[in-house]
Amino acid sequence: MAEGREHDKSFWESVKPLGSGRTLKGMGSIETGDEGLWHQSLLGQGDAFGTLYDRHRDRVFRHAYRLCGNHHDAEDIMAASFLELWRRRKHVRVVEGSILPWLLVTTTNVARNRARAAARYQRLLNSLPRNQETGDPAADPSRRYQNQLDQDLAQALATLTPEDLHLVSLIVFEEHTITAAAAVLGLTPAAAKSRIHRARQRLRAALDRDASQHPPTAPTPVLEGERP
Amino acid sequence: MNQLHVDNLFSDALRAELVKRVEKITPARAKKRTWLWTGTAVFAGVGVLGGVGAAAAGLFSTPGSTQLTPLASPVTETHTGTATVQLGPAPEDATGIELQLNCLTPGRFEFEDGANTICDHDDIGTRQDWTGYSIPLKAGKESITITTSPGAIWKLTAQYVNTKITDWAVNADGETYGAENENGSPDMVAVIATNGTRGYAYRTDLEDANGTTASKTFKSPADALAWQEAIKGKDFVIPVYDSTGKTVVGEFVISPGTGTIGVPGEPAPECVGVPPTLGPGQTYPCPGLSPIETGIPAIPVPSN
Repeated sequence: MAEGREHDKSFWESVKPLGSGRTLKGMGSIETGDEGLWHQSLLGQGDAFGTLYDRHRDRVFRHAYRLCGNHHDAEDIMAASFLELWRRRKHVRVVEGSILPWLLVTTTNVARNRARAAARYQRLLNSLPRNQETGDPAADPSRRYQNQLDQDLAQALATLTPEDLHLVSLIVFEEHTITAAAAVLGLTPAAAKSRIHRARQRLRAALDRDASQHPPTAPTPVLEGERP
Repeated sequence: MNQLHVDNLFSDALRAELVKRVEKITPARAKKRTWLWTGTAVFAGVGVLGGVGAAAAGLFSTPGSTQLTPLASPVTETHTGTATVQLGPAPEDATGIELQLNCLTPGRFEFEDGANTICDHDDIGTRQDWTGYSIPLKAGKESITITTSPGAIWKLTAQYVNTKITDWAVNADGETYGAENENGSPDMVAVIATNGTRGYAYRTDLEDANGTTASKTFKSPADALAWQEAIKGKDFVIPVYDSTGKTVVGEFVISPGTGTIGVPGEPAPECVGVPPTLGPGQTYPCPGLSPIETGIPAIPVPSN
């Protein structure tokens, strides 16, 4: 399963820092925190937003993939999330110096309302070029198996209420603090704490239900972080 | 081939699109750069009398003010994408065409001389979707073409007008007085004093208060903003004279306390979207309003 491990390593690797060759050039002061970059973006500096994109793209994509279990859809959701981040820029809340929690909440919303988001950006998304699919994923047994697990998780997540899903996404999957999740969702930390507890239980129940329909032969990789 | 990576081709194209979207939205305070009245009517300063709005309203007649007379019924048309609006033959005494463009969808809208305005989602249906533009008439000019981004919808109202700038008057001391206009400022600029009396303020006094004097020392827009920050909350009181330039009839207050764009407070409706700093050659486009209504005037910024 060497290939599988490689696969998971990239799946779980931490977000890369600034993309090479895409630092802000020619500016008096270089701000590298999300807050500074976001502020510069609002002033019309495209490079700053580009850097935010470079920084958070992979996490947003992984989250989108987790929610839909399909590579192509995940790319569309990721793209629509960044477009929505910008479109609704006046409402954005930077939490603990990071824009990621807001972005992940946006991603969750886009994924849940995929039809609406897709309609808004359909023409643009279709116009963006893509590499041709290399090989049929269904032909590779390990990948086919992975696909099934990914879709099982996506289905289990789809049973959660939006609020539960936001909390699980931020706290369980993306390891934000309860305080940060509460801030971005407009909850008190105490409320977030009690709700995340119940949300975890509901997710576990949904996964168990799922597992009884598709008996797993291995732990779900997205929850365990490792493949057999 | 790792399946769980974003397609590079897709990602790069998306990134370019995002950067483009960010760059086309300049901040709100600099958005309506195209609020220009080039050629026919130029206003400078704030709270000073003269200009189309006041003169057209028939409020008074000040030497040097622009008299604008509509000559034909306005033509209003709505189009999608680049299109040309026919205005019909120009009346004999037309000197210009006054244009008002409303964007009905987001997009980029360009006038024939390259001046353009960009509307985003948030502008639609608000005052921000409006752009006023006035162009001098050229012989044989009977249409207006607006070039837009694909599919952008706009409404244009165009009207032939006659604009005439009257001459400044001269007092016994040889000082010119009247409204600021495209020829510049007279020695004494027509204003309305806080007590409601119409009179004149010395240009040099106004320049000290409104940043023109200070702006000569500015080397960058940052200097201008720093100056604006420094004078925040301060009132400048300037004496207002009658046309002799000797008798004080009231005072003129330039107060940054209200309505300054870029600091808290709502701008006067006429001045929504006016940038706090202007590019070289641009002038402040809030005609006919008192300084109390508009706050500190926009500061001219030197090039570079």
